[in-house]
Amino acid sequence: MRLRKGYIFRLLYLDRKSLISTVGSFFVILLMISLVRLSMSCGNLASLLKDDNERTNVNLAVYCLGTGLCSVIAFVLPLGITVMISDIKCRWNIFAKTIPMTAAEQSAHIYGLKLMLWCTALLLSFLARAVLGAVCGIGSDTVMAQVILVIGGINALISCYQPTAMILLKKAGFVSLIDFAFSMISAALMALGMMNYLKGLGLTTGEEIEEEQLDHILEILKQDGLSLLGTLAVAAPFVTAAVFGLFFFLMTKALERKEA
Amino acid sequence: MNDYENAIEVNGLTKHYDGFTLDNISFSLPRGSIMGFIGQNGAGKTTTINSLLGIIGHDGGSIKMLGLDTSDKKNMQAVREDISAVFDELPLHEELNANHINIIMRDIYKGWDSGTYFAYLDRFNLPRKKPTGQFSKGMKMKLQIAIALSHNAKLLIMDEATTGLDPVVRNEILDIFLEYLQDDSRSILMSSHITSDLEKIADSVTFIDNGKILLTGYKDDILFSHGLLRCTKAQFAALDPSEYVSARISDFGASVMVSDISAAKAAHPDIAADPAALDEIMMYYVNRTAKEWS
Repeated sequence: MRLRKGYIFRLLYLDRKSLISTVGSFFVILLMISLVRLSMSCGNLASLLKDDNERTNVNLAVYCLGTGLCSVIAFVLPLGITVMISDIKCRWNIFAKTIPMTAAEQSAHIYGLKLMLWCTALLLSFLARAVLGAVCGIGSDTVMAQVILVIGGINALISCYQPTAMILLKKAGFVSLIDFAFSMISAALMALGMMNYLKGLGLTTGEEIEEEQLDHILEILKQDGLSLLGTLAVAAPFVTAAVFGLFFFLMTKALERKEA
Repeated sequence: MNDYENAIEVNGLTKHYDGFTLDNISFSLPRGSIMGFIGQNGAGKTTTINSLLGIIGHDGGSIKMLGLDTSDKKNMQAVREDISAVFDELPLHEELNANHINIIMRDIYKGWDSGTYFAYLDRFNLPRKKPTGQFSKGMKMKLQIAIALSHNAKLLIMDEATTGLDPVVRNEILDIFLEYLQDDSRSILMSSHITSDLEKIADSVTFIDNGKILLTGYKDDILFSHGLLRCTKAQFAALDPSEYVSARISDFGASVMVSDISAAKAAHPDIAADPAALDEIMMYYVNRTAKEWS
């Protein structure tokens, strides 16, 4: 298979506005969070932190929320489907069937670029983790690394499904509707699972519990949460690889079927 | 690419849609020539062209292009390197400019020649940095033709490419096609409603109506064999319907299209006969089932 730099240039150029705004937003947010945290240490906001306990809590909160937010922004990079929409609008998808590129080559270029952007998003997320870790004085932490991997895995699923769905459904509205339905069903299932899990721990709505019991439940919650996160983080790279492979295969088949 | 006699050979091509069937059509485009593919809207021109280009599949029949059977995927892939498609609208994003298109296409076609492409841009006075969305219809068509002619394609397939263009631009484009055909390994299939253009440049003509090929052959043979008989009402009444394609009835008499003008002249020496133009032939064939129309 020949690498067609021009084909990749086309995809990048047409999605340039979204890519630039995503990268720009990422760095602006990272800079703002870092500056606010630095100002809390040695700037005008220093008086807000009264003791070490508060400082530790703020450090943890800024580090976790900041890294999570920056990671979510970075993973917008491989999400763009605007090119797919405009391909249909301007009839490039019809012209593409007349050019000497096989269906496998076309989907390899699309998913290859997606993978490249996904890796960039991963690097940016780890950059945010390193910067905020340094600003907040937190050393090498594995929890946020696991969170980034899980966010990346979920993102891979969404961003890989979209181009194939666009080729099959041809309407961005349908794809968005499926996204929405999938998100709603996932959220409902997660809420249901969480409720059952909490019930199992003895937490039910409308009942008062002792502070000691609450501490105990929170400790179990923390342990279970970290254990689940660890499992998901181990699974995430495999899921990501499988998702990229599966949707590359499905798009190739979809393009070949349309030609047949 | 192997040696071949016909740039396109279509045999028994069939494609069914709900409400339309491309019915067992066959024609061939000799290498080094230009064929006009004519027919009214919905006759099946675009379906045929899309089948040739592999944009849609077909239900039956075979297609050979540049000597290769395109039902074989590898052959189709090889053929795509040597064919160019020109559509009625520019199939490129409006944000792209001519320079961007050069960057994209030079990696897509092995035979892409940036020098030829930019020479065509200069010849057509097309700006290199202006987004194509700001081009007029004529400029977009010229750009599409510049792209089509810049990778040394052996076969140019055009679907209504000159429709909607003014006569000056159309003439300019037709001249370019004639230049392109100077190399006798190159061929053009050109679908159009504008039969006057085809009359100017086509070597052969295929006329499709309602999914069926009604006429195919060398343009001069078709024009030479067909003719219009100018009949009075009495002369028309004496004609046998099997002798003509269809007749246009007016208050003064009838204009009758015959497919063998020499035989008609011999059989009816008293009736005045005129040569027929392609659009007249098309019109009379379209009305062949009604036989008499006004």
